[in-house]
Amino acid sequence: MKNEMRTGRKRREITAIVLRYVMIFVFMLPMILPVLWMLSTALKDNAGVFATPPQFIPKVFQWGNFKEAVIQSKYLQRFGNTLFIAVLCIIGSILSNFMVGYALARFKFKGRKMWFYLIISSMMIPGMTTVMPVFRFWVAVGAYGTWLPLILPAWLAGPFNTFLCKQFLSTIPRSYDEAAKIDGATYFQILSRIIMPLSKPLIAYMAVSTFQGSWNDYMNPLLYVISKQDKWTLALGIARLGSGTFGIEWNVYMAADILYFLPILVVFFIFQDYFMEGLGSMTAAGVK
Amino acid sequence: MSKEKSAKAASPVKKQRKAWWHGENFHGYIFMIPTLIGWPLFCAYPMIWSAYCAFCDWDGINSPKWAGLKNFKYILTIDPVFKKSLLITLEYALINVPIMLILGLALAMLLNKTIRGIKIFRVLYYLPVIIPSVATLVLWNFIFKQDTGILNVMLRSAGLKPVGWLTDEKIVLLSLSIIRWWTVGGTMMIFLSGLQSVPGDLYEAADLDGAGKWAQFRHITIPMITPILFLQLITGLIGGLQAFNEASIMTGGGPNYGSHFINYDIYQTAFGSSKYGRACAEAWILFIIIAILTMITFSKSEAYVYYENE
Amino acid sequence: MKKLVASLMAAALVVSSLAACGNKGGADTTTAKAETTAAQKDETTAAEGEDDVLTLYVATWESSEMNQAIQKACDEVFSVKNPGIKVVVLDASYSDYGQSMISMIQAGDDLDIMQLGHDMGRNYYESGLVYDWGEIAANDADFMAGFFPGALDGWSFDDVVYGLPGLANVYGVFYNKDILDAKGIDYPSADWTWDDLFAMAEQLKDPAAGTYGIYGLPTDVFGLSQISVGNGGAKFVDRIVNPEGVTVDEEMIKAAEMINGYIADGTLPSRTYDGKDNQSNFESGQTGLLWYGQWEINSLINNCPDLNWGYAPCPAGSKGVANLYDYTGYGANAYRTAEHPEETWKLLKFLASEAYETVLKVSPVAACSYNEYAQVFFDTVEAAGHADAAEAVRVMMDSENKVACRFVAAWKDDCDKIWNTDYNNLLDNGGDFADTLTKLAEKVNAYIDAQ
Repeated sequence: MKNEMRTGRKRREITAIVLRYVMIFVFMLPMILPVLWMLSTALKDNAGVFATPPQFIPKVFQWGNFKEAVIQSKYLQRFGNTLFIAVLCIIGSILSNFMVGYALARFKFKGRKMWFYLIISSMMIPGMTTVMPVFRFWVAVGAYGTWLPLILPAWLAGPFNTFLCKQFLSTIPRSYDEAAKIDGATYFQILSRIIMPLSKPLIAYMAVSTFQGSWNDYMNPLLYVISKQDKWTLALGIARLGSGTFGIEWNVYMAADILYFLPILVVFFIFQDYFMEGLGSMTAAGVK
Repeated sequence: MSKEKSAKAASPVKKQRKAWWHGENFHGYIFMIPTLIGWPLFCAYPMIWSAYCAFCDWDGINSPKWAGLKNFKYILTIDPVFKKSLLITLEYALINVPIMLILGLALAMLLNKTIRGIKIFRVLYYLPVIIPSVATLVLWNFIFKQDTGILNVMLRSAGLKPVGWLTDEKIVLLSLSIIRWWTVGGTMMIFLSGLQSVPGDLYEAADLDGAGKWAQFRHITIPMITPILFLQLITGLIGGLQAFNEASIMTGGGPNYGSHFINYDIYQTAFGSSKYGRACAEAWILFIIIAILTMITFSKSEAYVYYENE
Repeated sequence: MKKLVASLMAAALVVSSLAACGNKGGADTTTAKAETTAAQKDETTAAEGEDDVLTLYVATWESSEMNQAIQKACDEVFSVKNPGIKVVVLDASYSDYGQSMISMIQAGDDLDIMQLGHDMGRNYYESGLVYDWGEIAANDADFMAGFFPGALDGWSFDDVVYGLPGLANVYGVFYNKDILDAKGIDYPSADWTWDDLFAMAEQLKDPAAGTYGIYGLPTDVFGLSQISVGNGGAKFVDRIVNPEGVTVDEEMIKAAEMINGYIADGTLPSRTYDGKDNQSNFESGQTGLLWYGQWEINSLINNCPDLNWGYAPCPAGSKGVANLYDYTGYGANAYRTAEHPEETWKLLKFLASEAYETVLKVSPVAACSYNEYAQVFFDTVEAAGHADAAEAVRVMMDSENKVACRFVAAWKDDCDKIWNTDYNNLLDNGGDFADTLTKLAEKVNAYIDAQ
């Protein structure tokens, strides 16, 4: 009797797991098929792109498309540009958001609640409302045609990340702070030597998402550095490929797009575990 | 601990006389410097300036000229497209946000087991979110093409009528929604972390009491993740009402203004027609809509959101 | 740890401020082209102080080859004749050209002359961005008389001349000789009619396979006016720039009904059809008839040596031909030109006329609107073996009757919004043509009057 029950349960468990795998596969297909289609198109020669019936696996593997994409979009130089901007944004974002998050989470200063609500409500503002006045500001300051408008905002604590920091830091027990204070640490030392090492997942998450935000940004480079080709970011360079007067070379365009998101993919893979932990900071718990 | 007590006993008055630059107030403001600079610069000043311009005629180049309520009058009464834009924007946001939440939660539950290869699957589900939206929209444009897009080619070879994914007024919102659903991986990841933060002992206790899987879901899982649900609802709503990239990169406002979202109309009015005053007025109208909907959601939230710590 | 963080912050600040200063001619890693431009810039700005050389900057949306050809023309011809003026040709992005130009002008960037569409020019003029050449042009009547008939219509109104036309875009029909042969259809002749065109399209369509008879035919109201004016009807707008009103008459209504019929039976694609791939489909040999601009000739010559193609001019109606007016040209940055109008005028004239002698040999995209130098385009195309295409373009350039291809006025977008939805529904789905069109015209006129 017991044996029957055990094998019965085992069979149910196995079917449950198999069913789970099947469902995962089924839902995964629409996730990756378009990306595979992108890869397939990137490898085709010109005739194959719109061939009917469509070739899922290209008849000709034209790896040269990638080389062509690198040349046409001036990939290497713009990769350097975009990387430079992204790194500076990451540093700035982490430093400023931790500072402000720490202040909101720890210090009881006058107006703390008010500032918190102001920061939250600024997340609600449609981007369009602020574009023109901010543009005029940068022109007046002489920063048009530079990367400053792309970098400086990250150093001034964007609301979403500030919110995240505050939530996360609220969960760190105050006893750490107090112990350090007794030992004579300044607030700044508490932040840098105790809080930050404890917040590695949050740092990783913010680094990855800031990197993503900066890498994918199209509108701001469009507004500020469009006139100086040597300052273009990858987003501009890739978009240029898709807007010729003489028709679009879809295969080269797709190849360029793939090269465009490959770095983010790599970064994400490397920091995946930390990223998941950091996401967990939204609920003040970890992710297994 | 005893050191503190004795210190307190020895000099009870000393504590109040800390120099002001040691105090919490001062330090609070020092650490708030980034926001103290950033918020007025990138938030307050643009808001005030654009509020002023909403009542002006401004071509973005010369100085704004006062025009009273002219812009609002045009948008709300004369513009033949605004009502449609409003409807489309609301429809797109209010339908997709719940779908994304449900789908995201369902998929999170699906992937919530540490079976072999689960890490790879999670990343693959997240893949569409990593790809920059510029690249994504180009890809889907390619797929949705009427004549040569892979979807219609497959339909035609199966003997079915091709669908005007991006050329039929009534279908274009559906097509754009599909693209949104494709990126559900982001929502899923956040729900995943929420699911895993639910303490396991709650489930154990429920098991002991003999509760079934469905009852556990309804009475443990859902209540425990309501904070996340709420957060996703708010951000999804705010983001959804500001849909822009799809219109700008894919449809150009859609067949017969079928995907002409308000945010896109603002952009067109500003950078296409150079009527920045009117664009500012419209941006403020959008902001008010977002604010109202957010406040409604917030106020309703008291009823169903369960906070562990607050 | 504190020291590390502090030094990191300091380093980052230093680096970012260096980046901010980077655009003032710092040591950038640049590509070859940008290098020469930057080098030239440095040279000339250094030279400016020394021997009074004025540097003028020109922006276009053309391809790199064309930009280089323009640069060559300026260096080898213009600067030789005008030694005190050096010219630098910039390279901007096509997808947001308009916005880039506005940003650059507003920010006080180095930009003197820019390529413009005629409607862009009007908009820029209204915002005070481009210079009014009215007075100077009136004193240079000899030069101004050298343009093709009607070329200046889209670049001036009342006494204002806000730019000079450069290249003429004309629209005709490309045809694939092999596909027409296979169906036993005769090639279009230079004096064919709209009836001929639709008859051919009817034979080429294949609704079952989703193939239309002709691709790219403009079925918006401006495309309709080509048909209706060709049949003797009134022009839709009374003039190209800042028209005072629109007119809908019998011929227009008839044309609308006819087009609706062709959409219904699959000869023409619907109003919401996305034609972005029309050109590539024709180039890959899949399309029989394609309505497109003459710049495609250049692309076909360069990219499709194996394709058997021809080009026919816009067909005639019962009372003649009406061609679309679409001249691109050049305007000048109002802020900077005021400091040196004479020199800028010289360069402007050069770019609109003589420059094409060099440029069109390299990149024959269009005939220029200046009579004397237009022959270059025709010769280049003939030399490539397509005399019929050159002839078709010449016929269209010489045509007297030109109709607007879009609204060119401040109220353009508002009136588009009034017009488009009902019009598109009408043509796609049918309805009461006379009633709908007249009501739309009334609404538009009412709106224009209220401005």
